[in-house]
Amino acid sequence: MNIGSMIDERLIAFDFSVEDKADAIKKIAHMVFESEKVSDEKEYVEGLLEREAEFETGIGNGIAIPHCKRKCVKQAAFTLVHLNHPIEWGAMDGAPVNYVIMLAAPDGEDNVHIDILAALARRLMDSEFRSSLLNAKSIDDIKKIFN
Amino acid sequence: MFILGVTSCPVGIAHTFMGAEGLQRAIEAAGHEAKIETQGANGMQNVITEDDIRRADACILACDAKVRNPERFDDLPTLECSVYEACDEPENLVKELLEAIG
Repeated sequence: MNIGSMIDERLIAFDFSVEDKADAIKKIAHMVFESEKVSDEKEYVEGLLEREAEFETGIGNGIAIPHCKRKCVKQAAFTLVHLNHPIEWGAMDGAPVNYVIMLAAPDGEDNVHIDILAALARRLMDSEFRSSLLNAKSIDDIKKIFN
Repeated sequence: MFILGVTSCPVGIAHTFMGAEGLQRAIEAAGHEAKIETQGANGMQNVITEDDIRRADACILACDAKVRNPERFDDLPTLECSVYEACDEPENLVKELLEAIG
């Protein structure tokens, strides 16, 4: 399995409108719920907020990776959401965020999918990968990056 | 030189691996050999062996969750830091370590 095989078109969005960080978490978690990756939207959001309270997940270069590992996650997933305007996310480099990769991991022994999320996290350290994600304008562009 | 590293984070699905990748790249960019063990949600990966430790010159523990078996590194010069530093400024950590061990 590779990262590309885990892409779910329902979790990709461009020109996505949010008011602030709290609104982004709420709306994007709702996408994850609607795509049937999590069984309990409230518990998933709680997990995300708990993780943010520990240390905010703005990783710099305009990207945030809110995430949690919870029983309510039925299937591991990630979103690729390009916001239509940057928002404050307490990022490590202090810069506002305009790209949200929200991760969902089931609370089990499912190492195959954890390995894929891990591979995605590793690729985020690559500046070329980051700029191709931020420059992608369509689902086809996204698929090309991962295939 | 041969530099070891261990990364861990609270959830174990993202920063653990970003930090490992950051350290790996920064150590190699400084012209040295690296081996980074991850202690994440998928268990211990790329596990550091006794042979690695015998051959190593130093170690970076970039951990925000309890490190498993830290006593392995007792005899090595060790830099302890947050996993977030390994994600955000791995080059600075490597520089600091190299300066400290001369």
